[in-house]
Amino acid sequence: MTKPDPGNPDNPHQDALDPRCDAIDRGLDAALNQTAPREIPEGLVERVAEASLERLHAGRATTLRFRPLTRLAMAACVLLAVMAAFWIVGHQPAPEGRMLANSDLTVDVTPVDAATGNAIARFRGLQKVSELNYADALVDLEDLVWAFHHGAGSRMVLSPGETNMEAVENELDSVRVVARLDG
Amino acid sequence: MRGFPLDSEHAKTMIRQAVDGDDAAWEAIVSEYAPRVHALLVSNCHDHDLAEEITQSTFCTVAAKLQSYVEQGKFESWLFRIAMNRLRDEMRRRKRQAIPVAGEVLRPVAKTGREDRAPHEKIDTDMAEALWAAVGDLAEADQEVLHLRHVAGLSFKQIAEQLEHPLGTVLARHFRAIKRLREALGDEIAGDFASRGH
Repeated sequence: MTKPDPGNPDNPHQDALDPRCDAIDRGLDAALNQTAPREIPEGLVERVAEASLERLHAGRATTLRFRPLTRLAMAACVLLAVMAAFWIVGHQPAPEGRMLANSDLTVDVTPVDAATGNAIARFRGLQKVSELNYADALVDLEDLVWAFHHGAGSRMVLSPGETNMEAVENELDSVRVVARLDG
Repeated sequence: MRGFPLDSEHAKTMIRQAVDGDDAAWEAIVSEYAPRVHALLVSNCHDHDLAEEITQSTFCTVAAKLQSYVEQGKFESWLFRIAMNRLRDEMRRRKRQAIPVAGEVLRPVAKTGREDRAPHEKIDTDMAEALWAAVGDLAEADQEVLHLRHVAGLSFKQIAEQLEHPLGTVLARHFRAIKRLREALGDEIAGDFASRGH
């Protein structure tokens, strides 16, 4: 196997060939290099230079004209973005501001009739029942049983039309409800 | 003597000068590369008029974009790629339009060299024609690498950049192309060329 030439990779004359090339391959390569067709029409270089110089000048002019403009436009965009950011931050209400605004709010309270008031009161009672826990209800029930045992049944303060037994049943109901809620 | 490629650093300096407003530098670049671009195009399309048209268009494009190119390097690869892409586009367009190409246009251009070229003391014009006719019969891929190396005057490194192949692949392709050329010529004739070429 032949060793590659230590060639200059930028210069085809001295380019190293594939190491598998033998003497005949190298000779053919040299022959191709010597005889390569490079015929060019008369005045080609001048025509190409003339045409392309116009483009080169136009390119330079464009670059000179637009480079400062482009930079100016970019700077303006950045400035605008910064100003917009400041404006947005400045116009956003602070948390304190929001609380103050809420404190100024007023609520109109409409008076309700007696029936609605009773319904609300009953609902509040039910709400309290639901809020009861078994231990509290049990204490109440024990107190009630203790009062019955000590002859206090006749002196119980009851709702109008409510009998002693109904009061007891109500208390028992509440215990059942709480027991169910407590699982 | 064949005008040899500016070395990379020299080329970069000339390009920078051209960008900075030195018209003489640009003319030197055109003078260096236009013949090579033209020769490469002719060797591919065998049409001098088309080759000149594309050479002009290529240099106009390069001149217009030179400002943005400067820092990228690999000027030769860029230039020859633009030229070859233009040629391919044009060939495709002609194929689509089915314009018959005159036989004369397709004949291999293998004769004569530039006036400033070394006289072929060892290989005469007929032999050169025969050699390049044999190249013209090779597969397109083989022709491509031989044209880029010998007609466009690109180094293997530049060919690798242009074709976007590894350097080793380009060397192997060149080796195969030479082998096939040798087969096409026959060992005796190839040996004769080789002895004269050295």
